[in-house]
Amino acid sequence: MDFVGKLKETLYSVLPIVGVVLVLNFTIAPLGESLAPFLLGAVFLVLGLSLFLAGTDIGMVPIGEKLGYVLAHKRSTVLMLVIGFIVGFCVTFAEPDVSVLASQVHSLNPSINQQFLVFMIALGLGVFVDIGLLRILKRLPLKWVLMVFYVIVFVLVAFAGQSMASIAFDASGATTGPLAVPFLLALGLGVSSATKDGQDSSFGLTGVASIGPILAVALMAIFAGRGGAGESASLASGETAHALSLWGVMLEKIKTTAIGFGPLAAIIIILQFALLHFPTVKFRKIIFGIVYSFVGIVVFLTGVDYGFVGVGRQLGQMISANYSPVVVVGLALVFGGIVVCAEPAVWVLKNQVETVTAGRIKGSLVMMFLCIGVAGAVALAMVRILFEINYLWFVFIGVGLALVLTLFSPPLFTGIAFDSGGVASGPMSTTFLLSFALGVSGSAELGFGLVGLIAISPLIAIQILGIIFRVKEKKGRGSTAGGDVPSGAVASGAVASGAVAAKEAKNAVSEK
Amino acid sequence: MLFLRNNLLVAIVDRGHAERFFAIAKKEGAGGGTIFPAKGTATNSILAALGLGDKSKEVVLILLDDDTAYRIFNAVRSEDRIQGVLALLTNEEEKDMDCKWKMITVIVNTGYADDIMDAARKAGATGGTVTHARGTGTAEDAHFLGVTIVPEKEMIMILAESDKSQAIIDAISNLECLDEPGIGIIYTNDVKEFRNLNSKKR
Repeated sequence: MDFVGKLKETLYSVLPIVGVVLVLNFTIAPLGESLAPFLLGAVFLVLGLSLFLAGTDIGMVPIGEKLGYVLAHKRSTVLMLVIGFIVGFCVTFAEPDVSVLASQVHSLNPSINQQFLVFMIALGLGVFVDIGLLRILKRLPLKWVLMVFYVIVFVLVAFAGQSMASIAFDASGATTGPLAVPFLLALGLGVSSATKDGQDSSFGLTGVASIGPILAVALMAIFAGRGGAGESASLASGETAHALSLWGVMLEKIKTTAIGFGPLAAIIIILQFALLHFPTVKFRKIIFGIVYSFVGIVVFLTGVDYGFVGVGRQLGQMISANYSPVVVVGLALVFGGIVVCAEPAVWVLKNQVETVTAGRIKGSLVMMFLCIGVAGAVALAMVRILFEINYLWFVFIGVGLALVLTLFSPPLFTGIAFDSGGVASGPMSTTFLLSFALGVSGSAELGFGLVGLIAISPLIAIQILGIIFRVKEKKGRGSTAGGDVPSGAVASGAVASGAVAAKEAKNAVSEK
Repeated sequence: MLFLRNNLLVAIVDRGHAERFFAIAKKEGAGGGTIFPAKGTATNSILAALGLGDKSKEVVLILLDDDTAYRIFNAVRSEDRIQGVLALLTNEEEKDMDCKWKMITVIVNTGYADDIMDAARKAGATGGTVTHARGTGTAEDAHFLGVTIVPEKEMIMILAESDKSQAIIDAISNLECLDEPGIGIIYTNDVKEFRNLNSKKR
């Protein structure tokens, strides 16, 4: 894909945040000498993210597609599950959002081993990719699968305690980041697009897969003890990043990213010769794509560590120390609204809903719902931090509501909604917003959970849209038609447009 | 004229420009059209080798008669907001017609487009447009866990000067990775009229 186009998209997603930070800098929260690293960090962020996304388009996406297709052709369920697991596992190691989250967790709570956390997240994702693939093949209704596993999640999370629960939900939001999502969508599409009649079932793989990390982290917390969380670890450890030079940060990132990318690269090369057999020129292009992704991640993470995280925390600390909770929550609303409009993947979602409903639901309505949803989620996260409310309440009520809605929302919307949980929590929220929240809270006990809340909000917003769509549809057909006909019409409309929408979704997500 | 609409107008424009183009075509008398997304491959071989430079495109297909076609060609001459190319394919049997351009179309199993474009570019093609499609499948379709599996396809359109078209077809046909029965088909159409839209900004 063209790099310039990506550059433009990323710029749109980062600029609004930079703008707000600048305004704050000149009004209520002067940043002093961390302003320059922040701006430099922002430049790195834009360059890195663009390169990374351009790389995923020509690297990971074709692999996911071909893999799904080849696996469907091999007609071996076992092979499909083995490969699905291995690749899901390796992708997580390379996922930039996960390493950002893990290093933030570690910096605030040194008792949690960073590598082990990533390992558990990866394990959880791998297993649930398999469960998601099985669901597509066995054609189980998405809502029942979600219900069963979320009930298990609730139980485990209640045992794990709220500080680990918040990390668990954050992990889930982070895992479905820019590297894994295109791959998962492509894999789901590959498996179901090779089938004539299963187009609409291609949604939902990401949604199911994202349950895995929650379960895995919760299990880890239960078995490893509560990990002595919440020692109010010194925020100074976050600030030490500034002491390192830009070059120093980058060298470290090259090292850690290489460790993350190693397994992925090895797997891809093995798959190429064992299964995929891409023709020469295509494979060369894919290798280039993966190299771009690698360089992109290094630059992106360097920017994040060098400028973004520090400033996010500093702002959080300054504002919560000097101003009333109202200001903090108000600012959170603004940040939430900006971030959601800025996430490129959200625009994808908007188009997707428009396509699926053939324009009956306006894109602006989707954006409005998501804006309100995410702004609300960020504000709620701040309220929780300021008033020290138990995180489990938010999760139980939020996810509970989302699950209840699955009973009323058309299945296609449920699929899109759960798939897009990760969409709203993109790189901007794991880097800037999370560190802002950590700054406000000043402790590991309360700071996490923000990304998880952001990821829950689309589940509710999109499903409500689905219900609105169903009601509209009913009205459109006249009241004599009876209850079943309109929903049937929605379903068949969905099947018809499923192919287009799925393709569109894939293209669009890969363009993100 | 015996057939009223015997020309197929193929417009390959940048993503988002298709509606604008169709509005012009409609004003000049075109009936309906079909729009689908596609990917334009890099025109620069260095960019292509690096895997960069692919662009999102849209393809517009319109069936129309000669008069309308030429009116559209005239109308777009003054339009500088649309980026792309316009080609008029014909099935008319006019032996004396001297076509300077040909449209080569390749339909293959998915995943080969980059290799095909690489070969085509070496044989003198300047660029191509790729879109995804699905085969209809045959009786031997694979069945897996109760679902029928149909082959994913890629359709590649290459506009080339007539004197180069044979070399391009040969280069593609001789590709080693396509050396497998039933992997795909290739065919050409005559291009009666061809235009680069807004070529000054190219």
